[in-house]
Amino acid sequence: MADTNFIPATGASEDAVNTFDAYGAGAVERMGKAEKVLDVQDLSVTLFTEDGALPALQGVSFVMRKGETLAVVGESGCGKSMTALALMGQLPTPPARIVGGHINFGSTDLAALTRDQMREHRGSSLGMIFQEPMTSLNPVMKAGRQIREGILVHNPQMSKADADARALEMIKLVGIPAPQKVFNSYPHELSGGMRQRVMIAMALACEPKILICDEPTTALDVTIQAQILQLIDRMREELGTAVLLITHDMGVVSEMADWVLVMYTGHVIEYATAYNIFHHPQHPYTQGLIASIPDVNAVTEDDLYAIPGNVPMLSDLPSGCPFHPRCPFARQECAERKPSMASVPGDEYHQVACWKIIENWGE
Amino acid sequence: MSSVAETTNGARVVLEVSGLVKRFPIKGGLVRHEIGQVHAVEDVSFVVHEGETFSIVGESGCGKSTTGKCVLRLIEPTAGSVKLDGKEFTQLTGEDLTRERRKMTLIFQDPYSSLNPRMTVGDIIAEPIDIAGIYATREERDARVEQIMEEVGLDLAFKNRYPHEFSGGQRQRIGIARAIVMQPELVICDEPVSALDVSVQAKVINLLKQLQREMGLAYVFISHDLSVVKHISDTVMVMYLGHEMELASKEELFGNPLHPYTKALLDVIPRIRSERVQDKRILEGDVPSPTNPPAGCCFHTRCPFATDRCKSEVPAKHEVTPGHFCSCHLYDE
Repeated sequence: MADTNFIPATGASEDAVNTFDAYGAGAVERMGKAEKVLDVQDLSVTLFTEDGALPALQGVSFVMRKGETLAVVGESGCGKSMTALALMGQLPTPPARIVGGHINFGSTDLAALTRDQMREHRGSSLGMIFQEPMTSLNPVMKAGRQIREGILVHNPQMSKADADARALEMIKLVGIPAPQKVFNSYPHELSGGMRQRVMIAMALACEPKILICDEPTTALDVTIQAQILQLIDRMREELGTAVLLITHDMGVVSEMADWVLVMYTGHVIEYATAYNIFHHPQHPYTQGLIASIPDVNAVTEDDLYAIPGNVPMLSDLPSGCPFHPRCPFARQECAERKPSMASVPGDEYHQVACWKIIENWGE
Repeated sequence: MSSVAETTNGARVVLEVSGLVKRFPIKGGLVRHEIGQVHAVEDVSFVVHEGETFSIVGESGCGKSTTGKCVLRLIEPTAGSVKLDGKEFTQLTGEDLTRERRKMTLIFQDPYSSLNPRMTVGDIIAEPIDIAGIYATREERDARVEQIMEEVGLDLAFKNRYPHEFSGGQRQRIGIARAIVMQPELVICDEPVSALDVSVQAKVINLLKQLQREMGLAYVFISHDLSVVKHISDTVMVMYLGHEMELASKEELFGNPLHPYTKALLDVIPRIRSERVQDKRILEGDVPSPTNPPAGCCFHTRCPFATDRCKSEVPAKHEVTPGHFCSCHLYDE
């Protein structure tokens, strides 16, 4: 039988971990206590294409809390961007459509709103920043006016002068040097990092409760990436915004997230605190994902662990557990029955969809 | 540069680059006269030995890709010399150039745009052979293609398929197969894994390492991802705004970084199980424009240790400890 050593243990010893970790026992204690801002239940999205219906999201559930960051990780095509678009009511329809589940924001179910009703929430309750700031800014409009535009839409009674003042205040808040100059600049005159700061200023101008960041730093250099991540984290703390961070970079997750949602082929396969994801990952996919990253602190020269096989196509999902063809622990039942999310024994906040854990196969 | 050669157990030098400079003209005005220059690469020197992985790291616009392309002469360097196997490469023309070029190949970053969508996998891999015309018969050529496909882990059934049928990782394998089919001595890998997902990235890195062991390839590995560089390299060069900042063995560079820029880079890379991003020390400001680089040390605008001297005087490259080079006034005697 396969044993746990199949997937290499992930580097750092426990002692080193406790010294350097951002999440002490106190932080773990506080988890799950903050006010719920968004409660997503059983969200399913299907793409109705010419070649048939493809299940892009299947039964995705999670909670976002005030002032906390939830990171959604997974490889391309796992449904992380689809999740963000569903929350924002910006699914490309057709072909995508929400076919089940609820997105509870306070007492409203965002999944049930019409396009016009959703427009009131977008920008004011939910803000979003995208991967490529150049393509999401209007190239023929000055940065300040683009920020002002959103403020005016959601505050029709506000005067333009007041909106300008608010926009300038936001530019200052996101740490742009020479705010007046940037206010009067066109996007092409700004660097990538500055454009992303303008995007953040725009997304936060109406003080949304939720900020959705879809790969906010993938297009930026490492030093600028760190500046932007630091800014998002500072805004979360100062404004109490709940942040949904979509990324494929586990290092970024580790430095930013309070909670982590690991996705695979449109399913949530593990949902836990960031501390547990990195120190006690349960799902074989999560373990493999962490083990396949080259570690800067590592001393070994060994080959990297690579998860065998490839991510299946949505049109050709395996039966049972979607990960079973690549899983080193898979048994017959994994191919027959699909596991649903269940709490890991002893930790109600650590959920995993894996028969090995649910049925406690042991070693 | 001889001292670096000596420290690496006397392995044969495959590539020697010295004083490489590339400036792109900016043209403007009515008659398109030159109104300025982009200083892409400024005085870069290094050597690469047989079987060695030499990495170039830096942020975008630092000149790492331009350096790679100048070495291959995909763009002509403005000044400097590139010696391949001890032979000057920059002066070659015509057939001599074609012949020598077989020794150097390139793996591209984007596996989606670097494969011709109208050619089958077999033909893509065979293209360098066809151009060189080294096999007399079709059978020999096909046998070589199949042999290479097996080496990089591609199913032989894929031979007559087209690139769009493959995932990013498999396409990158096709690109690698094409690069090594002529048994080059040096492969320039320009961000070969940055477009790939982590689990696929791990497979491609393992493949590159395996091919290096089997074929004794030397790699010039261009990347912005320091954790990948740490994993794969023997020697690392850090570039900033076209200048060489620091050059050392991997152990030295990651264990004992000297240049303030290298230290800043190592501080900011996102690490698993490290401190929260808020508590990090992060380099402020943006990379200056290469059209109008700062006077003196190009890093002085962001350097926490900058002095008046840094603003006026360009630091020379010093060998601080054997094999560890750094261009910074802090390490001047």
